[in-house]
Amino acid sequence: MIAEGAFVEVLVPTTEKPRQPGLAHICYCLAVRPPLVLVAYTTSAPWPPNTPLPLGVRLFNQREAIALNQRRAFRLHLNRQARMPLTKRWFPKLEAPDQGVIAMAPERLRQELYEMTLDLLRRHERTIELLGP
Amino acid sequence: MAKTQRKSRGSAAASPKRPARPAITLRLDPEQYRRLELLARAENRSPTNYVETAVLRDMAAKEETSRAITMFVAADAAGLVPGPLVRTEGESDQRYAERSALTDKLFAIPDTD
Repeated sequence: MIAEGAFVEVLVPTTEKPRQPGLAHICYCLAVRPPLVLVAYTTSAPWPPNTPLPLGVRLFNQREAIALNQRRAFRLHLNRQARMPLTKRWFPKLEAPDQGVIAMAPERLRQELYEMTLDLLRRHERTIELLGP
Repeated sequence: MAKTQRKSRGSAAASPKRPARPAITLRLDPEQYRRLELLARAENRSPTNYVETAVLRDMAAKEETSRAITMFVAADAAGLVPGPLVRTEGESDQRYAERSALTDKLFAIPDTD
């Protein structure tokens, strides 16, 4: 079921349409707080050359991807999050037995991603302070 | 080798609600154009839309490196209040409390414009 650690199919909003359901993507579920879900974006699209990877991006090689029921190596962008209602509008397979969950992160990976998210939040708060009054 | 040239669209094409969108001309070698067509077709896009999307993605990636967290908030989530965090199977009380505190802060991050 959709819970922390689930890799789940979501009609994730995109930069072009940031507040509406977009293309079907696999996302990583960070938290469920009914009626809302917080997910982070994954992609196998190439990263633009000569652009440093931002903090909070975890690379998964082919072997790790296959272990998570995915065909290709991919990146998880913990720095690119979305929150949306837990509804079929956003989770098209919500009513299926697996709810669109293709894999669950093992405990060690869940903890690693949780700690990365904590680091990101600390950095986010420092950035807000620096930009603040 | 691709070349671009700035070109203004005529005022008649401009919508009264949206400002005119500057157009550019993109020149590609025939073989590069053929590859562009194939890539675009694979994503059910026109070559023009494929190029536009690639440029927008590139710009977004560069902006992303300057922000710690980019948050998209669904339009239908804006007025909803998050309830108690759903506990992960086997999660200790301490981790649950720490994760609740973390998600309090994450759920409070406003939409990134």
